[in-house]
Amino acid sequence: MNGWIRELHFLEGGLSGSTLWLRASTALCALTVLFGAVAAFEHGRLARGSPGASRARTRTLEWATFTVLLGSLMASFASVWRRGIEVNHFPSQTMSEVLVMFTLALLASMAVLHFALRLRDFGPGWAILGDAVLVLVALGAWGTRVYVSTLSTAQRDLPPALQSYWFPPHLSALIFSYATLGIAGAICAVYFAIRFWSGVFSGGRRARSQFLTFACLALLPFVHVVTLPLILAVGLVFLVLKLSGHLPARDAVAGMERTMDEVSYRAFSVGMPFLTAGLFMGAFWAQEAWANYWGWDSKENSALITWLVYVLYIHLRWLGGVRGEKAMAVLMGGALSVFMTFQIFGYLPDSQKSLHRYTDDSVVPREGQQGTASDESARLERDE
Amino acid sequence: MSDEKQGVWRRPREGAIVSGVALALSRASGFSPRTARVLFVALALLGAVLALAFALFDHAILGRFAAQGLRPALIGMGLLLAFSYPILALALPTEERPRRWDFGSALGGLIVLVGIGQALGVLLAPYWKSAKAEYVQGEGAWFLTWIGPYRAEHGLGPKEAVLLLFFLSGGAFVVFERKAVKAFFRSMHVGVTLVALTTLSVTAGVLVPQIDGFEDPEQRVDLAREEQDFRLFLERGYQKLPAELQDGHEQYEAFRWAEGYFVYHLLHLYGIGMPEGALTPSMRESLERFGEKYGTEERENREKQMKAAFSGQEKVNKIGAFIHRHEPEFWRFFQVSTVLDLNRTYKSHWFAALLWCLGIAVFLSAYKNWRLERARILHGVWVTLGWTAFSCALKLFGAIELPWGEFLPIAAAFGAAFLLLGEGVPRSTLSLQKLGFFVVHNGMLVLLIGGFVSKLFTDRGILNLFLGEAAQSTYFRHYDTRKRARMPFSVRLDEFARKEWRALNVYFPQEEFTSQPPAYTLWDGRTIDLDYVEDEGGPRPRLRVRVDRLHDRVEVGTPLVSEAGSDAQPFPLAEVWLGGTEQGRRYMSPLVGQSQSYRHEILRDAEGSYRLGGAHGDDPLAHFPGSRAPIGHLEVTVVGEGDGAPRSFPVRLGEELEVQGGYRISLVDATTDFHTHEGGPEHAMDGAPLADQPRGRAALWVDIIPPAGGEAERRVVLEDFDAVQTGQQERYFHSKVLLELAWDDWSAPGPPRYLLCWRSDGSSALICETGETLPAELGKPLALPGGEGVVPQRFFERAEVKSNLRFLESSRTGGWDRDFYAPGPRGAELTVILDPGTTDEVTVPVRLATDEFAQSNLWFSPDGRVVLHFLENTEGFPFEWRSVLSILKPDAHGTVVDLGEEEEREIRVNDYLYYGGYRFFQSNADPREPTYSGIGVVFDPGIPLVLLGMYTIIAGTVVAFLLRPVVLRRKPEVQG
Repeated sequence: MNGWIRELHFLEGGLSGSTLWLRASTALCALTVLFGAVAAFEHGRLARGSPGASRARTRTLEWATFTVLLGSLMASFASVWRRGIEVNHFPSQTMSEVLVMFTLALLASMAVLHFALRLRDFGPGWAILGDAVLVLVALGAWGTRVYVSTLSTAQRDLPPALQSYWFPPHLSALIFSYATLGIAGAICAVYFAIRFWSGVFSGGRRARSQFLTFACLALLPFVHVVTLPLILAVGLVFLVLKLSGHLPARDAVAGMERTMDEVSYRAFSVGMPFLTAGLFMGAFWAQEAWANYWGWDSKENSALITWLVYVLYIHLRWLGGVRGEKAMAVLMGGALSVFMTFQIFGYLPDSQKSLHRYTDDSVVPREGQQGTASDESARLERDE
Repeated sequence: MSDEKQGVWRRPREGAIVSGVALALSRASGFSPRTARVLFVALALLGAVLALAFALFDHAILGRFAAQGLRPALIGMGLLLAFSYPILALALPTEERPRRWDFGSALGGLIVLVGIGQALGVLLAPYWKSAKAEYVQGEGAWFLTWIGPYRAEHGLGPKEAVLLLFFLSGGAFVVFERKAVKAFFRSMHVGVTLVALTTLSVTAGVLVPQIDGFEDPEQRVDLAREEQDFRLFLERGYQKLPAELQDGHEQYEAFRWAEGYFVYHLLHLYGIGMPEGALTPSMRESLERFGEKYGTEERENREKQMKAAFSGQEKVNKIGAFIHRHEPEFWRFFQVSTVLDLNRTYKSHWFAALLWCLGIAVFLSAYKNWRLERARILHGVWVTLGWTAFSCALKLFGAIELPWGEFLPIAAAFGAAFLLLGEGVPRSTLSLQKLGFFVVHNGMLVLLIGGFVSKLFTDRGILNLFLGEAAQSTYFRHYDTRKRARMPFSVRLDEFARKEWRALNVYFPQEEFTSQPPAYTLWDGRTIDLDYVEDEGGPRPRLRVRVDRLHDRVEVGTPLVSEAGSDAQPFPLAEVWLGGTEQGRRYMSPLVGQSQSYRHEILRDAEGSYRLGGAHGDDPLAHFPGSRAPIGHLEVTVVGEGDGAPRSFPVRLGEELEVQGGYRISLVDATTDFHTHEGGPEHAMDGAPLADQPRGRAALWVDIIPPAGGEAERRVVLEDFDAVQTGQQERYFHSKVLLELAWDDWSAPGPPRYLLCWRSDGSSALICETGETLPAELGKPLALPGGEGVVPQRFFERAEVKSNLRFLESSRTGGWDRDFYAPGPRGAELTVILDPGTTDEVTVPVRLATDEFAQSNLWFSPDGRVVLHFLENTEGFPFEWRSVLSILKPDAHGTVVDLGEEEEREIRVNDYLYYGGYRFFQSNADPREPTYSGIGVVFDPGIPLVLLGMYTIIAGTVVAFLLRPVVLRRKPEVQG
């Protein structure tokens, strides 16, 4: 093993192997977007019965798209594996490492949901939805890696608290749940965008509802990079459909909305147990590290808020029978909370003295300094 | 759908016990039942508002009233009025229309309940404080004995009577209106509102910085006292306030910075409008050269770090200006947060009341159709026995830490709970369709109960232990040295060590980089490629360092020196024997100018009679420093100024330095033997002249004067002390000024100086500071003062030095790893490959140790281009802290308790020691005090319950979401 590891030296040019694998995966992500878009186009032609469109052709495109996605996933996994060897620990300490793990989880979630949802079995119309989700996820992974390229990739030593067997399962569970719940949230965003534009082009929506929908998509902070392009893209699609005379009927849109509600719920169902397990694994870990299973640290609280939002969603859906717009709004709120916990946490007021700020390069975490009493009268009278 | 499910509140049947009295009252007053109802509602609301107002604003408003007895009586009357309505309303005729709970009324009801909880918490706090004092004393049946001390201190009077009335009326309400109470908590709207309120409450705690020490239930911010000094604080600043006022403003300082930081970023989403760090052309050129040596990725990372550092300081300045512009708003927000307990949300009474409501709702919802039948009791007995056997098995396998005496009653209690609750649950609830959520709800209940036990009984603090000192039984509660608690046993620190990560700095001396080289953390098998050169196949490394093996213990012997060095690079060296014996062999190289002496090349005797340096060639007298020679050098970095590189200034006491950023540093005083006294470091200035002080740890006192003559700061700069890494830097008033002291052992005042001089022609002499020349012959002691002789043995002109290292194998045979606590240096075996993969490839084995002696920590490449520096990296996070503890019983002799395997006594982060209900964990260390170990102490009997609840919730969600698809209820769809 040591001999093999010795041979894994950095490649020429001073770029690490993990970086090269990551770039390969990112390129395949971009290819996935392209293939997905072409597949969606072909599914649209098939749904309209256009001449030249065939089921065999679309099947080939489906498999090609999935294969490229799988290739990106495997390259991403190779990147993470190599990074683990390069830094000699589970590679989730710095922000760049965590975000790369997140994109791996995104791709893995998409690969799982691709089979779990089986939208293409419902017909080419639903297959377009599946393609849209896949394109969205691949774009998300690609965009995240573009952001990662602006972050430092310097190796950081693990602080004592992170040297625990809880590190991999806690991070993995949470990041996988974030990815899956993020996909559920993305589906909700697509839902609201479709709902808004169908109201614009086909009518039948209340003005207050339209205003609220647009305001949330356009004004909700931190997620503009997703919602604004999405609302524009969906609007463009609706415009094209309107001009070509293929605008979907209201009952078709309503059916699509119900399906999206169900699909987002399934995605949520996959993520919720992992979110719960990840949250409480953090408590088990804190108990071992500081004999304090819950210190009301802002990172813990942010994760708890996310969990509670989803608990709210469960109760509304199952006890109250709430579906559609209200339920999807709560689900989107949960996705926003995930983002806040994951990326915005360091800016929150109570986070300034958090023990969990390990990924901020500019912050020296307070671990090992809590309750330092040696600068006061630390020496007591001796016990007799 | 039944009325209960819809949250309907119906009045109980007529003929209830008190209805006759209430009807009579209604008739006697002449009011119609409807009018009476309105009056009662109004009275109840008034009472609830009064109770709420007095409880919530107790700090600000009632704190000014001296009549302490008035406050609780008023609150109690309000509570009594609040509950008078439901009791007397029993007499009124049954309404025809049922009441329904919607989100609005649910919210209103819950707010009232939470307000009542806050009021009750304030009222009951003194009783609990008394009871807990008895409990902490550990005097046995504290729940029976606490009333006596309370009565002696506070007396029993109207307040207790009012409380008793409240509990009676409240209890009557719950009993007589139990169906309505159950319907309320089982209502979907109430459940959803509860979860939403809990979410909002936790969010409030995230958006409002919690005060330091909020876990201490007595920790408060005294607004009334601070309000009068706020103007003084604005005028003079925090550090000029009297000590007793600083604590409150320290909270406000942290609060306004945190809020200002958040709001500033909220107003500059995605970084739009924020300052960007810009690099100068010379920095970019330097970075390009840096990339050629250390690789593209290192270069990119360094550029990102530099940009972040430059933009960071400017951003800090802008945030500070933003805060200053909105100071009154921040102060007002701080006041409101304090009054509403938002800055100690999670320890507030209203938050506890909310969680109580949540627990009641969860319980009533989970056991909605509970009914225990005789036929199932026997089944329940078997289940109880099975559960008890299972938990005993867990105990035997070590999953449960409690001793048998505490564990068995708890296990039995759980078993009884299973029997009573579980067997009354309908079978349909235990089907796979519903089992998952039933399990989750039970998990929540156990978690909340455990949390409540933790809230009541937890004690937390720090035990300050020092190596070599006696055991202690007293710890500081909540890290406050004014609050002490005693354990029923003592704890002694047997071993303690802090280990750093082993790292390699790679220098390219000819490049003259101003910034620090990267520190490569080492582990077995790591390979590092450096020094890239363009080749026909692309860039290739000219240097490869491979880590073969790291060693925890190494013996550094006297280096092997021979006259085999290079003629091109002569290396003069003198070999001397201290005490005249070979065991005292040392090597001295010539001093290089006055300002670059190295401590290991200056020899001193134990009594401080002399200092001996080396000199080679002509003009040795030039090496003696003048009267104004610096006593050392001060490395000054001002964050955000220039390129961030430190600048070095000579230290001459009494002078004032003009440094980067317009700062001035006045050099006040210095010592060579710094140590803390009980009064703090300011009292450690030694009045003796520097020359007469022993050589311990050097320190320098400076005054830092900011540009434009602002508030000056007096700071002590310690030798070999990293203020940034230890967190001390952020506590300084001028925290952007970083100072590091390098003491000059040769030029600073001290014992008389002597120079051992030798020349290429073989002559040698001992030169005194006075100019006197004394003989220096090989094999004969030098004429130095003091008893310890120094005998020169050999002089070298072209010395070749090879380190003499012996790596020691691990001595661990059992128990803890004693090598970890061994104070000696650590070693590394490396392979350095020059020009790898080419025909000129050369492989060099290198052995290094983390010891400066004989430069055992350095390796120089043959061509002088590369220097490897092996070190223990003190600039990053430590690798680990570990302590070994002993538990002693407080008898006359101090018996050491046998804790079983020795490993159990060793603690580290992520591995604590459990004994007697207490948990001891490695909390912190202080690099200024190498023998100090901060041991965190926790006493919390609620931990097992909470952890059990968490595991149960996880299991429930797995069952509910992954094992079985949820069976959707056929509820009418609510479309948005």
